[in-house]
Amino acid sequence: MSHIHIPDGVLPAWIILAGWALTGLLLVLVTRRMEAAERRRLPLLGMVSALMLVGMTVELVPIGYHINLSVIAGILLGPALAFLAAFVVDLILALFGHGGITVVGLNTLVIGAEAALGYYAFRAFSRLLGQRASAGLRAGLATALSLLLSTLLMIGLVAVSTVNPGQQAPHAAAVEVEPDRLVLRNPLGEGLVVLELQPVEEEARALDLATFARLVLALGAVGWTLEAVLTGLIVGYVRRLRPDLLEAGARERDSAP
Amino acid sequence: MDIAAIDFWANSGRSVFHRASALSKTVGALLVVAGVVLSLDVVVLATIYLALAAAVVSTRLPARRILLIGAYPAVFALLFALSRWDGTWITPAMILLKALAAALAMLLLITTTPYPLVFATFRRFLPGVVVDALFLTYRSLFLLLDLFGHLLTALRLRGGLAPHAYARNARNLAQGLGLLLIRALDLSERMSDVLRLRGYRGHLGEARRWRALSRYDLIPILLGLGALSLALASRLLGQTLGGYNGLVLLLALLAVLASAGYAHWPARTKGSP
Repeated sequence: MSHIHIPDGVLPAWIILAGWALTGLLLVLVTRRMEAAERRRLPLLGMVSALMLVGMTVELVPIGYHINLSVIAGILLGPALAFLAAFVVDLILALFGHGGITVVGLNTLVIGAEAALGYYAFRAFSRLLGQRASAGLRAGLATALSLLLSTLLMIGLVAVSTVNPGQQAPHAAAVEVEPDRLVLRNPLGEGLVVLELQPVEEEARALDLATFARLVLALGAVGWTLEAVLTGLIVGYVRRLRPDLLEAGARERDSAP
Repeated sequence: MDIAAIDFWANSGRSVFHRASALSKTVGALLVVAGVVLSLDVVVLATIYLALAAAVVSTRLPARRILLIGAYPAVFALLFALSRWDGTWITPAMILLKALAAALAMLLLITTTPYPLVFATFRRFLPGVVVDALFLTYRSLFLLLDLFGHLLTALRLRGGLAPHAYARNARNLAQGLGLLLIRALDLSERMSDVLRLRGYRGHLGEARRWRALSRYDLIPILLGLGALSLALASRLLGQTLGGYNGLVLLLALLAVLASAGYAHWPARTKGSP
């Protein structure tokens, strides 16, 4: 739910480049540390990433709500491989026009953080609550918490990019216009059709971060609840049918370097 | 996401874009995205979008469906655009057009290039393990989508997804996804065994066609260079170019019409009695 659904070219270049740099660095670290045992888990990573994509095709409410299953990915793969899965999912989504290609780096950080937080939160809740809470409840709580934190991270990323897209260019004044100042000149007057956007001289408009945060948190809360409930139900179902799968995942993760 | 349809279009098309190499199309798409990122002129962004639409129409693929898929990010861009409302329509329009144009550039690439070739191009600048993960994810995606489609059909036939029964629907959907997860984990174990038997040592084979250049490669490169040049010109020349932006918009509109004519002409002549 906490994807940065922000189009290309809206965020400033430095934050996009920083996102790519950090994601690249983490990817290099993850892949270099991957040894033979972890490489054997690549098909599992592929399947879990594909499952995340399938989850994203399920529209829960017809206004674009979908589930990410990132916490399940974290629980099954562990934080390092889940980060790789987040990158793969975001890159494939960008290829399908689902989110900007330039924000893949930032999106990977957000979704990767969501998966890693989910993994650690699930472990923490398991230690704290033990057998008093079912695996489904622990997974649901971990999901709600990690989604809240990753959404705050996303809002934070937007907050540090306090740039209005109309103010990025040296000729920014040329594109900020009032509709009534749009002039359609006589094509014969200048020899060619002319669409002119006349400048507006106004003070710089600050990014209305509060509005964005309010919108994202209000819409996000519904999403976190839906995803937490569904994740809890899925983990509960898997635990009931094949308890070995979740335990095997934990064993493999813990034995990996 | 019409993933199966997109894969079919990428493999079945015969257009100029389908014949161009994955390398040139990837470079072309990245140039267009660079143009979209740099541009701050609504008319230039609209022109780039129309030029991409003309390219999509010229591929003779279902253009309306592709444009609709490419419009999906507009929903989220609108949310962001609303937060930056400044009393004029320029900023929201610019944000929306940036989302639409960048998405369409990527869709043009993926609907005209089979995914193994796209991923083979990525191998040049991504770690091998990541590209292998991309291959395996994409392969797994089709298996899971197929399984999930059957699961949903079974759920609907048995009344598991009824209108307004939200709690029951959520429980049944979660069980469906849980079952899918179990199948996915079983399949991944089988896939892991298959890869090991075939001697997988951390590098999947790749098709070399991705870099086979031909004269068709000029088209995506020119499209990309055109978009980037236009964006740069509008930023560097500002008002000077502003006098001609109506013309480039008009040209892009004409390109859409010409592409539509080109795409439909053979169909009409073949279909006529």
